[in-house]
Amino acid sequence: MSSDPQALLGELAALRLSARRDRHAYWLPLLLFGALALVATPLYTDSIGPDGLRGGMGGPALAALGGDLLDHATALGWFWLGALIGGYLISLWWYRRHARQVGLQTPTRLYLRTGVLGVLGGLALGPVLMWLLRNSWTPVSEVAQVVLRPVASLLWLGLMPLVVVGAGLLVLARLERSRFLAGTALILLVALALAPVYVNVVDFGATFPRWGFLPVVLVPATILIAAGGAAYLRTARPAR
Amino acid sequence: MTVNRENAPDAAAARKTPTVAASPQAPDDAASPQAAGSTASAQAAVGAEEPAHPTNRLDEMVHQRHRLGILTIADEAERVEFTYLRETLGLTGGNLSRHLAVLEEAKLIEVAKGYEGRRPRTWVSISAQGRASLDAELDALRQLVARRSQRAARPKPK
Repeated sequence: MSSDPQALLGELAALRLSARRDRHAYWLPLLLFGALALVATPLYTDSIGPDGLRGGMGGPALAALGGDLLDHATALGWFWLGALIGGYLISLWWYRRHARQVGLQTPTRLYLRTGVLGVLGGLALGPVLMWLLRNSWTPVSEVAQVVLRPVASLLWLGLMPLVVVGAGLLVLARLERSRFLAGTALILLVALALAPVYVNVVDFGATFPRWGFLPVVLVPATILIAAGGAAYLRTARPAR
Repeated sequence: MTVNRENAPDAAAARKTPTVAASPQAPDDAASPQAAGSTASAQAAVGAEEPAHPTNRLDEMVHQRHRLGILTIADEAERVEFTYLRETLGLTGGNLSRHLAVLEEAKLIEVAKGYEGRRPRTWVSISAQGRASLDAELDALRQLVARRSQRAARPKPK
């Protein structure tokens, strides 16, 4: 290393970037959650469509992540409960393995905490929203119906688990100091926020196809898999 | 500016060496014979007008190039393994061990030794004090660069 301050700063910046590149291992969580979203796709099929009248599913509290709208909401809830717990645990195992292999360890406690809080929050969100929308003091419920409508839409469509994935990736981006991952997480969250909009763009009328809701999960899955693949290629490419 | 006093570390010497911050040195200009001949009152007057030279803020404990490299890498991760540091910085095991001992004694890093299976592992993590020292060092270096740029941009007297 040089003793010239400017050259020294440049060498230290290069050293830091090199260590950061060696530490990056986020391609696996991206591909893993993308694959899980793809596997969940059949559970997002629905025979009625967004405008159909239907009663609540009344599924068990632990399956609340699947929402209350789709035909397979309860199965979706069980699937995502297992997938989120499994996905976060596999990600943690992966980071530990990567640290042992490379010699640089990324802090993952905050990521784990986000996953736990996300799952618990996702399970509690349904009852809390219902109370706010229907059973609270009228002015509160009127405001809640306007303000919390987008959140309720995501919950009913069974997309809250993917919001938990997006939040986890955002935290991981901070821990990994990766702009690429932060950008991916933000694109994912924006795509999810827009899901209730684009699910209603095509007017199927009375002939709503069973696959009508699939874009809400296929778009996030594509984002995750494409970003995971790109991240893997970046990692596999030798540093210049 | 010559601030690297050593290539091979000497823990005892490093401990005895007061930090530059603790013992303010004369600025670069004062290294010339003319400046050295100036009076203390003149230096004090200059000191009152201008902020202290950034070299005063360089800490020899941190500034040593390999130790700066160790702290920079450790600051990037929660923990870094001995082998990674040795290979990245191109040091021998003994040399790195001595640098780590200096930094650990100054409470700038924490060293944890253990086994993974039958393989011994040494993990290094930067302490809050180490992070603050590294930030201060980088800040001082940036100020030095900025000062040099300002000086270069200043029109020379004819």
